[in-house]
Amino acid sequence: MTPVSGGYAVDVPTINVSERARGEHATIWSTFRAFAVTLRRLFTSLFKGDIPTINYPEESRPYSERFRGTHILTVRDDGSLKCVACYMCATICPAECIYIEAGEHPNPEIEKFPTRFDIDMMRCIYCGFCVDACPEEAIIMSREHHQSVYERSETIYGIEKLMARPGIDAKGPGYRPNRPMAEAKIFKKQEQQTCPFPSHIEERHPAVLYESMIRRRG
Amino acid sequence: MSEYLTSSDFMILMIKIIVIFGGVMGALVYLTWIERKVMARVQMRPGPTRVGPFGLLQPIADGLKFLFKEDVVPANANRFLYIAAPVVSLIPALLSFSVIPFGPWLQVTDLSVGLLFIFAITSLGVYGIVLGGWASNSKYPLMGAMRSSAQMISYELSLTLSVVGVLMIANTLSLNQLVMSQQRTWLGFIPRWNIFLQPVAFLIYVVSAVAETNRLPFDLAESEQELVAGWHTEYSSLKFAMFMLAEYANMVTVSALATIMFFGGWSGPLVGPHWLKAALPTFWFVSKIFLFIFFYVLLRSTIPRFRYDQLMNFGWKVLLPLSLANILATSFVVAIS
Repeated sequence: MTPVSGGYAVDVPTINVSERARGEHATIWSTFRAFAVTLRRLFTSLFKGDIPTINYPEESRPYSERFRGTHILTVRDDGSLKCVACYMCATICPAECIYIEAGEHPNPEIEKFPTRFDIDMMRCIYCGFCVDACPEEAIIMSREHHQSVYERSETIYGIEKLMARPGIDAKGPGYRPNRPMAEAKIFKKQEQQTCPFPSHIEERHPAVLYESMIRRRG
Repeated sequence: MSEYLTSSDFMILMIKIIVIFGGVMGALVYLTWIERKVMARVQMRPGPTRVGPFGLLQPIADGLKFLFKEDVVPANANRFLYIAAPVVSLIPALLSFSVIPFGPWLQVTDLSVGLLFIFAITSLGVYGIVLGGWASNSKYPLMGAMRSSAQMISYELSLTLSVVGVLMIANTLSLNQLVMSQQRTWLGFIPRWNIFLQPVAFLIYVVSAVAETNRLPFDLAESEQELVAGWHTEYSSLKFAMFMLAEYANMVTVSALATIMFFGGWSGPLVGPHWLKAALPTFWFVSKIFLFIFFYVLLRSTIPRFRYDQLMNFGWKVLLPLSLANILATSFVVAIS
């Protein structure tokens, strides 16, 4: 019963499963013990609330600080976009899901800002490379992961949705590897009433948007 | 005839019927909720919580869903029998409530052979299962129906024989008289219930009753791991709901019978004002039934299913000899005293 071969002198008990099963057939005693188990479970779950269930839409598990969810475009103190349209995120994106159109910023120190910034959420693989690549911490990730929509075209998030969708910081920011910069903030309606840039985002039909993105990919 | 239809007797009878069947049908629907809740808690789940507070409206939602589901009849099914089967299993299940005394006065009719009537009626229930399984013209229902018929015939023997001992002591077949015979007490505080005189018969009765109602340790008829859903695999919509209702009605019937025969039926302490004294017997009866049903639910969540040969061995080699021995012993004692 003590296997010593191979240099391992370990006393491993050998269990004959069929022999054990022969001694384990149901008896009245085992039935009573089974009832004890179920009754105990019934009372602990009834009176002590010992239920591991998480009622999902109302409750959810705590997510990691580094959770890579839907992206957030951060803003400056005045509520304008932090992004300088450097195309770093669009370049590194392995899924090629970021589309940026740059415009000239009136402040010569800032130089550029995006007039369009679209992320195709169906295409995104949530790798967080865009966040790593961003030199301005203009794009970070949130802990949101609800992306259910009624139409496929709604999965393309424009600036407005990325910057200031309702409940944007309800779950807090997620993946944000760089040292948080003081001026990179998440848009809040109460604090940032004025939002000069972009002053107005052209309201395009989502289907048109989607078509243009497909054309771009060839 | 018309004189009878306008007489107060007839009106009282109709009121009794409406009260009993309305109450029973409502209770049956909510038994599914109780069963789901208790089983969920045993398995450390919350159970139904979405529809209404504590999921209390869940049975109603289920019923509505059953109403709106498509009523499928398989292409090669025997159409007439297929449609008849749920009715055949539901009607006997409900019919047995007509002789069960829910209180001294709350009983549709007090047959002098009430017990025999219930056994005769409930044993018709197996036809619903067999017909349903056969008429579906499908292999799993057929296998489920075959198992179920074998099981119900085997366990009906021990079920009926276990009752004989009680009948020898009580000397009556009327259910109300059975309850009356257990009214007094021993030594002033032990109720004169038959369970103290016939404990073996009680055990046999409970085990056979679980088998008769096709509930979990004995639910080979619908063992879902092997036979999809057994005899009601092909049934959908209201027909399936009727099968379910019949199952729960049978559960209540056997629990009520166990209460009447072994636990003194509606007898219990009567206190308080006049109206409370009138209502308490029904309360005692219903709460005793609920204890049994709670036990059945707990049993379902505790014990795994028997294998077919174990089932047959247990029925024929343990329960049947035991019930016969019980009859012999009881008759010996009754003859001496």
